[in-house]
Amino acid sequence: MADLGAACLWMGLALAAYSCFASVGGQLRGSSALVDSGRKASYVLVVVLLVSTLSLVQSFITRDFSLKYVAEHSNLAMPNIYTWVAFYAGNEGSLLYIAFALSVMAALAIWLAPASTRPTLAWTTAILMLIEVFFLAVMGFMANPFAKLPFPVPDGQGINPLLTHFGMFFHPPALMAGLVGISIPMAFSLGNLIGGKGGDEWIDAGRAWGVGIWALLAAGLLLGSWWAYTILGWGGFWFWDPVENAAFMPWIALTAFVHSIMVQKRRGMFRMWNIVLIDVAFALALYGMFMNRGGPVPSVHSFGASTLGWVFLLFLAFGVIVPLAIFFWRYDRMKSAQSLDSMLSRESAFLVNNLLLLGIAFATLWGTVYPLLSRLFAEQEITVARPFYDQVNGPLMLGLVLLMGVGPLLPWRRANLRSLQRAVLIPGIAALATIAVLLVVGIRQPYAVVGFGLCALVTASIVAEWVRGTVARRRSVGDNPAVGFVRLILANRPRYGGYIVHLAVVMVALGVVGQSFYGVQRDVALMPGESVTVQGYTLEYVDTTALAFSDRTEFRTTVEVYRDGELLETMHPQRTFHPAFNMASTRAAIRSTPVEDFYVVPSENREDGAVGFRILVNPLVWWMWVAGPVMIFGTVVALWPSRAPVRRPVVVPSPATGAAD
Amino acid sequence: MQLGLAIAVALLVVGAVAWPFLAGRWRASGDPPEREDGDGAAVTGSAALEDVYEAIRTLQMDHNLGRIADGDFREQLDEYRRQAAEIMRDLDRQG
Repeated sequence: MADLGAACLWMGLALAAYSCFASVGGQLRGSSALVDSGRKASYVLVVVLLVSTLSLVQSFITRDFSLKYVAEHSNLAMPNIYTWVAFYAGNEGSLLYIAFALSVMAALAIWLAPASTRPTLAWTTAILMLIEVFFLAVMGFMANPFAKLPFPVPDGQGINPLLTHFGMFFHPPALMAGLVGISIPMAFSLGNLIGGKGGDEWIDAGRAWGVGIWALLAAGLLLGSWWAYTILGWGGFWFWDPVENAAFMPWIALTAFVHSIMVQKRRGMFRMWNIVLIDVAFALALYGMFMNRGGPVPSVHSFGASTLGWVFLLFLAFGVIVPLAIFFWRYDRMKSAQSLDSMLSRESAFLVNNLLLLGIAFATLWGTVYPLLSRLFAEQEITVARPFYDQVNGPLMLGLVLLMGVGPLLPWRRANLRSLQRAVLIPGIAALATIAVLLVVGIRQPYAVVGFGLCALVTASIVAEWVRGTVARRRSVGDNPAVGFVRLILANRPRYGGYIVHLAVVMVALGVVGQSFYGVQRDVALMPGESVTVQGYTLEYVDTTALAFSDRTEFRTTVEVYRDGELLETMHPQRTFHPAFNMASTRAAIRSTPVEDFYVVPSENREDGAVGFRILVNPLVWWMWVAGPVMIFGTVVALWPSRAPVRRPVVVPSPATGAAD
Repeated sequence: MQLGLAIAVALLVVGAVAWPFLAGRWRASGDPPEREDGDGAAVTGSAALEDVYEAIRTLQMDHNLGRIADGDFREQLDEYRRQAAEIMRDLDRQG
């Protein structure tokens, strides 16, 4: 099957290139048949890359060690369930995954394109297929997953042990698809501009894809945090690692975009700003791919042996310069239809939200590139660590949470100060009451107190909004509260779906503040039968069993955890040595409750029989992981169409109307 | 087997890419190709109308919740109604 996969890879490259040229040529020459042919090529590309993908999966399942990629990322001992993870564990396979994911998203985007984008859809298609050409060409010429070894080896090296985790089934694919998926709203905006339109034609498609991709990236980031928390053994979930930041920054820019696009949709404002935002998000996504594939900073998240850095650096330069050039070329067509009526309005709140988010993205970018700049210009590397991000991003994030509480209470165009005071009254009281309670129970850390207070403000403002809306419905149409609440949500899904997402963000904030300010950590070494007490939990080390497998030795430890003399749970943290990788991996045992996590991981197995343990008590982290499904649910509500989509076959485009002049 | 699959995929690719040209040739020479302009504009107009309705619903909700003064509410409502009327006129013109 490998030969078929390789053939389909080349066929895919030819098809994507044809689709790109046919779309551009058809649009310029006014040939609807050529444009249609280019579009159909983009559809059939999905089938071609699916065959290529399935061929590689099949090669993994059959352990075809004549393929270099399969030999490097699997072995006979690897359970078949990890085939999917091994598929994208290296540069070559992950590029194939990205190309396939992009082809699926591009085909869907083109097929479901709103009528307003049809006149310029050929340009959008050409842009998406050009990006496809890049990934397929890199694979074909530099990182071919179907490259063969001179002779097959009897067994492979095996999968990286850090990847054998449930989170790895979703975290990398969600992030990779999310990063490349930013191309879709970017292509709609750029296609619109090239086609000579500077207005609001692209925003329905841009918003829908922007929100969907945002949720995908959010899920990927949360799953990555969960993976780091449970397997890396240091007890945290975010390290401000350069490659982590590289995925975080496009998400932040996209967060700004999905808010700002609402202003354009409702008021016809921020036209240029939205194009700048989606281009910035796209550039940051390309920067993330560059960091991940041969970028200058090694990371647990990057493909260490990659030599593709310079190619991705060139693509990054292309991805910055070309959209910028098109932006200036069409500058005069993007004048907004409206202007700000008042600084006290929802539009202004969105603008401030955007500035804060871009501030976070810029600070994170600065912290990420500063070590490189210092190495280049000062000949010594100055690393930027968590204190920098805490000091700079911490206040900005608190500002964002404050806006999440107040912004939704503001109406469009202009707010009435008195009505705003009335709307803020209940959330404000909730925030102050929370702060008072925290101070009384002895929580005095200023950032934490303010953070929890703001979380209360946002929650109360959302709940108050739902209650007021339901009551208003009851008064106007006589709905009972339950029906009224559901109808309230259904009547304005983007708005109330957004509120659900805001609640999920509050949950994440609770976990971050709780763990950052009140997490407790102890490192101890215990002999069997010895115990230690941390934050009221008593951990007793029982024993460790060594289990030898063909590719690893597992040290399964048993500990008992007591509270107030009562056995809470018998836990089994684990430490595994992988000789082929000369690497030890850990698997923490976590007793998780909404109040706090009791976390234990064996850090060392000593020869005298003692085991080194890292023990942590992390308050409120449970809420972070619950936030993921809530966030996805909110996104689905926000994107759910209010009526059945009008699906009309894209029969014959009208190139003349959308041709670049 | 691999060769057969490769040929099948290649045929699918050629067929999909060539179809718009063949379909154009097979179409009766007197029939003008179906264009999406009018149809697309109607769909765009309907979407724009739905956007205005949504804006009105939000405005009414904000007014019910006491966030907007009566004067501002009436002024904005009139503007949205004007926009809706214009879109409906355009839709009528397109038939």
